[in-house]
Amino acid sequence: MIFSRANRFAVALLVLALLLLQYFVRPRFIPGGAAPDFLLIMLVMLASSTRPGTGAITGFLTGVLADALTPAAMGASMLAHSIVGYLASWARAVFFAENYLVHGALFFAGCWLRNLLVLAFSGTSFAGFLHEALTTGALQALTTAIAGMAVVFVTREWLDVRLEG
Amino acid sequence: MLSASDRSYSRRDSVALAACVAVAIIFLMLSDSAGQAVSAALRKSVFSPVVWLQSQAELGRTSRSRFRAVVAARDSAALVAQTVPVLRAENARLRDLLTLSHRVQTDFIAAEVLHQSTVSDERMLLINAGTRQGVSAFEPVVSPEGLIGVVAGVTPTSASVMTWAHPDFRVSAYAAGGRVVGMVAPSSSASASEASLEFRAASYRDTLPSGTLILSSGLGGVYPKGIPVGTVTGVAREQEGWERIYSLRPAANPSAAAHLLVLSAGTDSTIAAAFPSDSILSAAAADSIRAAHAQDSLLRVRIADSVRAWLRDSITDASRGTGDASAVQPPASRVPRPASSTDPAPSQ
Repeated sequence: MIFSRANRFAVALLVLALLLLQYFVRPRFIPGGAAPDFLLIMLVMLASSTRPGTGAITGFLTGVLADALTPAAMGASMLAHSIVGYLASWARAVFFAENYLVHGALFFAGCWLRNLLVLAFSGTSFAGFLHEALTTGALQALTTAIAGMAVVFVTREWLDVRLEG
Repeated sequence: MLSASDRSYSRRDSVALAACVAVAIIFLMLSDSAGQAVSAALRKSVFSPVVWLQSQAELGRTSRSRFRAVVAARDSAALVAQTVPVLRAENARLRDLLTLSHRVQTDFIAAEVLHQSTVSDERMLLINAGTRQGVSAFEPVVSPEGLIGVVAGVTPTSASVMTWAHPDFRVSAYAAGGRVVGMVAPSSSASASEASLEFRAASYRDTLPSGTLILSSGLGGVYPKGIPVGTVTGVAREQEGWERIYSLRPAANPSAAAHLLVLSAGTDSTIAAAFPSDSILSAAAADSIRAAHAQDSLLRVRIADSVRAWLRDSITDASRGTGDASAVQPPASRVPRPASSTDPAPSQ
């Protein structure tokens, strides 16, 4: 998934739409900890179209937003999102084949890793870490992967996403 | 083999990641209060639109739940409101019965009617008081409006009451004023749904105008004297020369009765005082209004006294200060005079 320079306006619209989904639609209609994380979908989509450094910075900014609006440890989301952004960009170079399953796997892995890192850096107990990682965290990763694939499907023509197969 | 530009990009990427991680770790190492201050500053500035968006979403979600709660409360209130007229009617009847129980000087047993949804319900009533409560057969049963009937059968916990609508019901009665004596029985011509009474064996030479109250006479050993039975509505038929039969509007309606009193004092007493005429009741109401007015005037006198005392104290204080009491003397017309004033009456 590579965004061309010509569709930056479309990317900006996508970012706005995902922010709207994350902070208006999701709390209103999809309550609960297992709801899809549209912020992470945005991060993975943006990071996988840029270099790893830019992905890390994008992740850092995303983490700043998450940390400011989430009453967890300040910095935990920054760190987790920076790493996920870097790895998402790096993974794009590793997985040459771009199809819905690869995107779904990226969203799933990115969300789960982000959840694990945030839990670890925010000082959660080991029992709580295991519980969240295996239940809510994994479930949210799954719903995020499904929602992410839907977003890629809807925006594939608009964003000029090059999908194989 | 990586080219020089690729190595440069890779180094820059690593540096960017390291910088982001370092800044994040610095934030992680901040104290909780400092971290909260930073996040609060961010929420107030650059992320305020996002916070506003989230608050709108939360408002919408809670509005929906509040709306559901309001709808549920409205439905509950509507359900309760449906029972309000019934409760009001029952309350009014209980109040009537309560005042009747205060007026009745003889022994009585309060009972509740167990209505059955049958066509004969109006003729025979079942009440929830029996021999255990002291109910005996042939005891009269009254409601606040007047005579309902007589106890026909008793069990330990219940009793059946033969109402005035029963074909076998009879009660010796007289017209208010005592001029005409006769026998009250259910009308033979009326249908079951329009049960009414007849005042029979009234002497032919006497006439009763419509609206005359018919009371039990106390003769016959069952009903005490003075229970309202009905009101004359007109002449039903005449037996030429010796009898005139009047139709009566019953004083009490058995089908509407919910709470009753079973009188157990025998027939040697009179309970006429328990069923005063409308004029007596209105006189009592007028007395209560006069009493309220008298209390009101006493209150006004008390207020006037307190105002006068306050003025007297003020005048005393002022005269001590200025030496001129008339300077603060209020106009006489503004000082209310007590009703018990001993001032001489003005000359005519």
